[in-house]
Amino acid sequence: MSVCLAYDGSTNADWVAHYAVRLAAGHPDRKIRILHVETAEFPTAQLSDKLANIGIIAEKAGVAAEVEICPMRDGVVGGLIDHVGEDPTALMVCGVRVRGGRRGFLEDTVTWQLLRDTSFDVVAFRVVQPGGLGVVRRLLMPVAGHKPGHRAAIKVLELMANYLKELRLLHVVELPAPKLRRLQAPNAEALRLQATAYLREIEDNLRADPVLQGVSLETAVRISDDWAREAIIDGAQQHADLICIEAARSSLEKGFRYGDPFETLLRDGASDVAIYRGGVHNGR
Amino acid sequence: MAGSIQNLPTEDVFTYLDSRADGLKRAEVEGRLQELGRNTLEAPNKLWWLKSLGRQFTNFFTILLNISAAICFVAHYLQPGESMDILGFALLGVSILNALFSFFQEYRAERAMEELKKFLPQRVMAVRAGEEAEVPAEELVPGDVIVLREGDRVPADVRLVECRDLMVNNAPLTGESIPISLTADAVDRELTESNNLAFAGCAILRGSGRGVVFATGFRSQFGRIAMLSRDIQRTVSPLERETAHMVRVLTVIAVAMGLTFFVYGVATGRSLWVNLVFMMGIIVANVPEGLLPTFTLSLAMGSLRMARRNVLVKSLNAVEALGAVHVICTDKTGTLTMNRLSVTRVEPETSSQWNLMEAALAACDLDVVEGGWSGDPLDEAVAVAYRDAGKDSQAVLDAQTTRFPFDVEKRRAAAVANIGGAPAFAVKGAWESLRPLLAADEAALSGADAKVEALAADGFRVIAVAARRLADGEAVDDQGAAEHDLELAGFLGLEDPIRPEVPGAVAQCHTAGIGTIMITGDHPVTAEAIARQAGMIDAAVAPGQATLTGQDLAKLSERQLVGKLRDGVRVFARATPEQKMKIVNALHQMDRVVAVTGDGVNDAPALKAADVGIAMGRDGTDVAREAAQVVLLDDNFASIVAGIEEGRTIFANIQKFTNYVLVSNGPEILPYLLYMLFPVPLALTVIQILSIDLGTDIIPSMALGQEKPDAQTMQEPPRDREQGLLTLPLIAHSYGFLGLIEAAFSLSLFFWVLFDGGWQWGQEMASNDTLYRSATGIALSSILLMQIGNLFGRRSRTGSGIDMDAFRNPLILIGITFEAIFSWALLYVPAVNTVLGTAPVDTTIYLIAWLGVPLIFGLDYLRKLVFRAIRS
Repeated sequence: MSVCLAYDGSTNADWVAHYAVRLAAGHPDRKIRILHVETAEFPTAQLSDKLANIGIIAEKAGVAAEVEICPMRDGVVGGLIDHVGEDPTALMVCGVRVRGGRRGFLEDTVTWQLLRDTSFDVVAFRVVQPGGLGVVRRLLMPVAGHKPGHRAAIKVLELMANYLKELRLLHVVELPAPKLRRLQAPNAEALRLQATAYLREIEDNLRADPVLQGVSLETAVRISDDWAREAIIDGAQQHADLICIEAARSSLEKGFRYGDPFETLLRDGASDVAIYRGGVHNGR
Repeated sequence: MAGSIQNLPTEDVFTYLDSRADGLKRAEVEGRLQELGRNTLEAPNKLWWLKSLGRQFTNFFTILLNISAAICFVAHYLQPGESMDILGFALLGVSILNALFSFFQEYRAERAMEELKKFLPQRVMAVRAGEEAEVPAEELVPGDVIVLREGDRVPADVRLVECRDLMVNNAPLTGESIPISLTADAVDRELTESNNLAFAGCAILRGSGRGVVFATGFRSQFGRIAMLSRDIQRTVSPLERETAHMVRVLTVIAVAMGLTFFVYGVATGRSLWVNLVFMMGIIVANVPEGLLPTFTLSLAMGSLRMARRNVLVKSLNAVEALGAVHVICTDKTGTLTMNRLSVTRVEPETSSQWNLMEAALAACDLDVVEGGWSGDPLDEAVAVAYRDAGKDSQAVLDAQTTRFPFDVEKRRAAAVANIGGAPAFAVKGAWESLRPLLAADEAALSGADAKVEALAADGFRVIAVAARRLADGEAVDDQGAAEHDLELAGFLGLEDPIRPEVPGAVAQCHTAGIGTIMITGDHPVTAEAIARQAGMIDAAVAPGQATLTGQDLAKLSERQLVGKLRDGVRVFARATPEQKMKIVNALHQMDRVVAVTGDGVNDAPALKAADVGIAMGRDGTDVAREAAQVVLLDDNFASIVAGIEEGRTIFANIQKFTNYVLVSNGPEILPYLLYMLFPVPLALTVIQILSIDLGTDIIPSMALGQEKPDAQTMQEPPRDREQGLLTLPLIAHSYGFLGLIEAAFSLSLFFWVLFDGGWQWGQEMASNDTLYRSATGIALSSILLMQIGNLFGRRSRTGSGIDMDAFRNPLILIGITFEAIFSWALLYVPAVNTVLGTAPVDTTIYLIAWLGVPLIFGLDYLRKLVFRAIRS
C-alpha cells in the first residue's frame, strides 16, 4: 500500500502534508510518495525548501519520503492519475481549495476530480487547525442513513489508529424544519431507536477490527434539520481533532454548491475536516 | 501524547508551524489570512437578523392576520364606509407588534457574542519579518510570533517558545481563577491542560514571553466556546410549541370554515361581496386575535412577579418554560451553599505543643484593608475564626517576618512568625503536600490519614497545619530549605455552609416531581456531603452510589450516561463546565425539560443548550448572563424553585384565559352560520367581533393571567409534555357548552328585539336600519355581560370561582367594570353607536341581558358540581 500526497507547494498543502505523514506512519511500510505535478504557479525549483521541510517532518515521524515529479497529462489530475495508475492499495491524500467563497471549497478543484475518479482511495483534508499537526486523537465520523463505504473507512481509520483514542460515530436524523418543530416525544424516541440500531451495526463492525481495539468507540444520535450544523457543534463540543466524512457518489456527481452541507462543514467547522471516498476496488 | 503541538521541543515548533523566530513575512501573513480567515469571533452571516426578522413575519399566525388585513383593505376599496380599513389597520398592527416582539427577543441573544469578544484584545505585539510591531489582533495567523507581557489578554492560542516567569489566569476556559505558571518546554499532557500553551481570552498575570500562534478565531479553544454559544439552537420552549399548535388548529378551523361557506355562498347565488365579508367574518370570529398579545402581556407581568422573587427573566418564553422543568442541574458553590468559607472544625481542639489556630494564621498571606483583611478566602476564614475566638488576629499577622505565599504546584503556603512568643516556621496546605515533610513515624502518619479521611467524609475541606521552632538566629530565605522536621499541629475543617433555605427548596422540588442534580468542580466527598445535607440524595443511598466524577463521566457514552442517570446518579463532582453539555444532552435523550445554572464564560454553551439557562447575577460573568434566559439575582437555589412555582402558575393561568377567550368565539361564529343558512340578518358585524376580541376580553384575560398560585401548584408533578394548551375537553367546554349558552342567549335577545320591532322572517335589513342596529347592539351587549359570569367561572377548575381573592385582584374588578360600562355605552352612547353600528334598546331588555351573568355562571357551576359528584 502507498500513501501518496498530492502536493502543489502551497502552505495549505504543507499542512495537509502533516496528515499524509501521520497516515503513512500508521502503515507498516512507513513510506510516503510526495507527488508534484509541475505548474507555472509552483515550479519544482522553488519548492526545494518546502519539500525538505516535509522530509524533516517525515523523518521525525519515522517515515521515508520520496518526491516524485509527475508530468502534466490533460491537466494536473490527469498527471496524478496517470502516475499512480489504477492502484487499489493507494491512498491519495490531497487538500481542498484554500478559500471557499462563492465557488465553494470543492467544485471544479483537482481534489473534486480526484474524489470523482475511482482508480484509488482518496482522502481530502481541510486544515483549519495547523497546530494539530495531523495528529488525530478524537475523531468524529458523521454517518448517514446508508452503509458507509466500509472498507475505505476502515482503511483510513486503521492508518490513524496509532494516535486515535476516541472515535465517535454521529448519526443525524434529518427532518424538514416544520416537521422537526412539530415532532412529538414518542416519535422522536422511535427515530432515535431506529438510528441507534443502525449505528450499533456499524459500531459492531468497527469493534471487530483488531487494529481498532485500543480505540474508545462512542455513538450519538441527533435529530435535526441540518446535519452539517450538528456535526460542527458536536465536533466543537467533543474537541474533535478531525471530522471525517464519506463523500457519497451522488453528492460528487451533482457537485458542491455554496449552501451544500459539505461546504458548510468545510467553511464553518472548528475542527479539521477529511472527506474520503473509496476507489472502485475498495467499497465503491 | 507525543506528536501534538505541546509535545514538540521548542526548536521544532517553528518547523512544524512553517514559521521562523523572526516571524512571518507580510506575504505569508496575507496568504494564511486568506486561507483561514481573520482572528475574530464575527458571525459569518452578517445578515442573520434579516433572516430572523423574516421568520417572525412568516409564521402561521402572522400570515393569517396579514391575509385578514388584506381582505379588509380589499373590502374597503370595493365598498367604502364600512370601517373595514380601520379593521385592517388593527389586524396589521397586532401582527407587526407580535413579530417585532419575537424578533427583539432573538436579537438580544446575540449579545452573548459581544460579551465574548471583549475577552480578546484589539492590538497585539507581533514579530514580523524580524521586526517587533503592534498589529491588529484580528490579523494574526497561525505561525505568527507574538510577544506576551503582564496585563495582556492572549489574542489566540499560542505555543510558547520563550517564557520569563509567565503566569496566566485561564478562568475563561476552565472557570477557575487559579494562577498557572507557564513554561516553554515540551510537556506530555492533554492540550487544555498543557502549561506551555497560552489560550485566547486568558489574561497574563505576570512575566513575559514569546509564542507562536497555532489556532485563531473560532478555531481557538475560546473560539469553540463562542461558536457553541452562537450555533447551539435554543430548544423550542413548551409554550412556543403549544402556542404554535393552537394557532395551527384554530387557523385550520377558521380557514376551512370560511372557505366552505364562501363556496356555499357562491353556489347559492349570493353576491361576491357578501360572500367575501362573510368569509372574513367567519375567519375573524374563529381567530382569537387578542389571545397572543394577551399571552405576551401575561408573560411580561409574570416576569415582573418573578423579578420580585429574585428571578430576572430575559426571554418571556422562559417564564413558562421554568414551570415545565423536570430537572434542575445546579452548581454547588454559591447556589446551594453560601460561598463563604468558615472554619467549623479544629482537630485536635487542644494541643500542648502548638496552638493550632495561631500556627495556621501565622502561615496566612493577608493584607489589612478597611473593615478586615484581603487575601485568599481560606486565609480570611482563618483570621475571622481566630478573631471570633476573642484573640488578636492582627497581632499574629504583624509578627510575620517572612511570607511564602500559596504555591499552586506545591499546594501549600508558609511563613516565619512568632508563635506562642517564640520564632517558628509555619506551613499550611493540602495534607498530601505536607505529609512527606513531617518528622513523624508511620503509625502517626496513618492515624493522621484516617483523621483526614473522616473529616473529608463529613464534607469538610481539610487544611493541614505544621510548624517547626526555629533555632536562635536561624534565617529562612528559602521555603524549600526550611521545610524539614515539621511537627503536625493539626487539621482545620472548613466548610462552605449550605444555605438554610436549600433543604426546604429541594424537598419542595421532590414533592413537585422535579429532579435535582449537582454539577461541581469540587471533591466528590465534599460534593456528596452537601448533596446529602440538601436532601438531593436519599439517606438510604450508600455513599458514592449517587456520585460520579468528571473522569468517570468522560469515559461514559451518552447512552451509558442515560443509564447512570436512570440508576439515580445525582452528583457530578470534579466535573468541568464543558461536561454540563453532555449531561444536558443525556437528559434531553430522556425527554426531560432541563434547567441548568452557570456562572463562567465556558458555561455559556450549556446555558444555551438547556431548555432554561440560569445565570448567576451576583457572581456570574457577563457572558453567562447574556447566554442565559434567566438571571438569579441572589444566586440562590431556592429562588429557582420560586421561579418554577411562578412558571407553573402562569401556565395554569394561560389555560384559564385561553378557555375564557374561546368561549366568546361561539356567539361570534353562530350568527354567521345562521346568516348563511337561513334568511336572517347578521347578528354581529366584524367590527363588533373585534371589539370583543381586541377590546373587552383583554383586561379580564390579563386578570386571569394574574391569578396567584394555588396550594396544589407545587404538589403535582410537571405537566405532561404532550398536554397541549388546546385540549379536546377545553375545545368542547369552550365552544360546545359555554359558547353555545352565550350564543343562544345573545341570539334570543337579538331576535326578540327584531320581532318586537316588527321584523318578519326572511325580511332583509339594511345595515343602517335602526332596528337592526338595536338588535346587533343587544346581542353584543349580552355577550359582554355573560363574559363576566364566564370570568368568575374560569378562576377555578372545580370551585365556584367567587372568593375574596377575586376582589383582591384589581384587574378582575377593572375588567368587570369595563365590560359592564361598555355593555351599556355601546347601546346608549351615540359616539360608540356610530363606531360599532349599534343603537339603543328598551332599558328592560338591557336589564334582561344582565340575567346572562348568573345564567352562564350558574349553569357552569352546575356542570362542575355534576362532574365533582361523578368523580367522587
